[in-house]
Amino acid sequence: MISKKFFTSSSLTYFVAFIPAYYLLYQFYFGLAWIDPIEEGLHGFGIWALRFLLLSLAVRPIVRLSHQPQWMRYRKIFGLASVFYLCCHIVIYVLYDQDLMWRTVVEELTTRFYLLIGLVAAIGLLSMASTSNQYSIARLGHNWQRLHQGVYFWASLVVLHFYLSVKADFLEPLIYAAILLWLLGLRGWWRMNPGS
Amino acid sequence: MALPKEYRIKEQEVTDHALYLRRREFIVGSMVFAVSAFTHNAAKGEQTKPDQLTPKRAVTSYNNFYEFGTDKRSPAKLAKDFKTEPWFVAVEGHCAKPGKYPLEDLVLSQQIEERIYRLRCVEAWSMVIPWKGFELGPLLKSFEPTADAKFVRFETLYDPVQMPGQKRKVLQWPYVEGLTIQEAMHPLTFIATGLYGEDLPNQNGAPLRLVVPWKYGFKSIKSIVRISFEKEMPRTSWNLSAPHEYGFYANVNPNVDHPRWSQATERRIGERGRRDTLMFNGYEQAVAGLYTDLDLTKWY
Ligand code: HEM
Repeated sequence: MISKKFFTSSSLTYFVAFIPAYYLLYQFYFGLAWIDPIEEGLHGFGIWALRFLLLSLAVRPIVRLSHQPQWMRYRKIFGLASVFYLCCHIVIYVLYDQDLMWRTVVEELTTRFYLLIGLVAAIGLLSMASTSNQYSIARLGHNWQRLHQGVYFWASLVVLHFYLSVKADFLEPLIYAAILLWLLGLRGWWRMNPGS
Repeated sequence: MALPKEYRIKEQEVTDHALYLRRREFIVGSMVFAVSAFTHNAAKGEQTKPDQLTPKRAVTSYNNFYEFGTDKRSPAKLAKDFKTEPWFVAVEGHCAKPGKYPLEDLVLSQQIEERIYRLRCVEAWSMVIPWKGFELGPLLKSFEPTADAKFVRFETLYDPVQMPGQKRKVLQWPYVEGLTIQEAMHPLTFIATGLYGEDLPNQNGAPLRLVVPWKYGFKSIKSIVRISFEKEMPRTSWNLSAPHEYGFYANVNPNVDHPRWSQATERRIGERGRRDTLMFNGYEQAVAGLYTDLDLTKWY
């Protein structure tokens, strides 16, 4: 019998967090993704990077409302999952979309506003992921807190990146913007009313 | 849409699909349009990749047809039960023979042929598609346009029940596109009623769609129900949606970028890597004459 501990373990969560990735990678190599790596890979991994980022931001409010402090660790797990999807997103852009043409990659990243915003957000999120280990937490001390509070800012940039990449149908990015605003509002409200 | 038998291409009645694909090497005549592009490309000293037909599966499962959803996979699913019979096309405006014509009447009077054209989407991907259909020019002439007919305006069906994408105002519905009368009369400008030797699948714009191979794909309006001859330049759907990104002319031009991405190269669907985008999508020799007086940077 599988123990109860297994169902609450981090490894299971990591496994679950990677299910969309297995699916996307399968699609990418065996499915129809060859038709257009942008549509299948870039969008798929981009969306899941954003979803896990927002999930990670939702952990704290959920813990607070449910009084289940042990769930707090999911914040880190979802955050790292988000960065994993983000890395795939970038690799697919460079490798499959831009066909490893570095000159055009640099040119595009610096001249297209929505890509520049994506790049800034990526740097921010990667800096958080690379300092998510115990060693960094101990070494950075109070600065660690500061660095990781930037997550709301990076998340807003990601939503803006998404919004600006869309041609005509803005519904999806607006839904994500609404979720992010709601999370931000909740946080602000709790800050002002710590007792509630 | 089933065409009357006598207007189908004869060989295709007897060749199965695989044979048909092999046969394509022999249809020299229809390849002329594609071939002229190689020579042009080679003359510029660029690397030349031969054009190959895009697999039918990709052509029919990867579509921008916002009336059936903005996702490229959704038209193939949501257009499955789209009703194309009976179908009428209203002809209006500056012409001697306006009216509401049944599709059969329009198609029956035309010479059905096959044309292999490159299709370049404004999103920087491209395909090579064997269309079946007829030249637009002779059809338009049969309506006897007057001297005031400077532009031709096309409209897609508006039917939110059948076209669920129209329930949200992603674009201005019905979808509108337009050409100058010279562009519309150009021998490359084509009305497709089929592809790969078969009737046009719904997701590709059944029962009849425009194909303007030297312009970005969004000009090639699908499921046409109205053609009108106009004096003024029509306001088209994408142009209304984002005028600084999508112009009326929308000629394929590697030197004029979309504000958010480069148009210098493209991804050919089914092919690894990127290839150079050709001026007027490789049909420069045939169509550049239409634009000698036009600043293509201003009139993108
Ligand atoms: C160097 C950094 C980045 C690059 C080069 C990049 C590149 C791109 C590109 C090329 C697109 C597609 C545009 C199109 O539709 O043609 C895109 C869309 C998107 N990206 Fe990024 N991106 C970056 C950072 C990020 C980050 C940090 C996230 C999220 C954590 C993200 C999430 C998304 C999302 C959600 C979309 C929209 C997908 C859709 O339309 O379905 N990107 N990105």
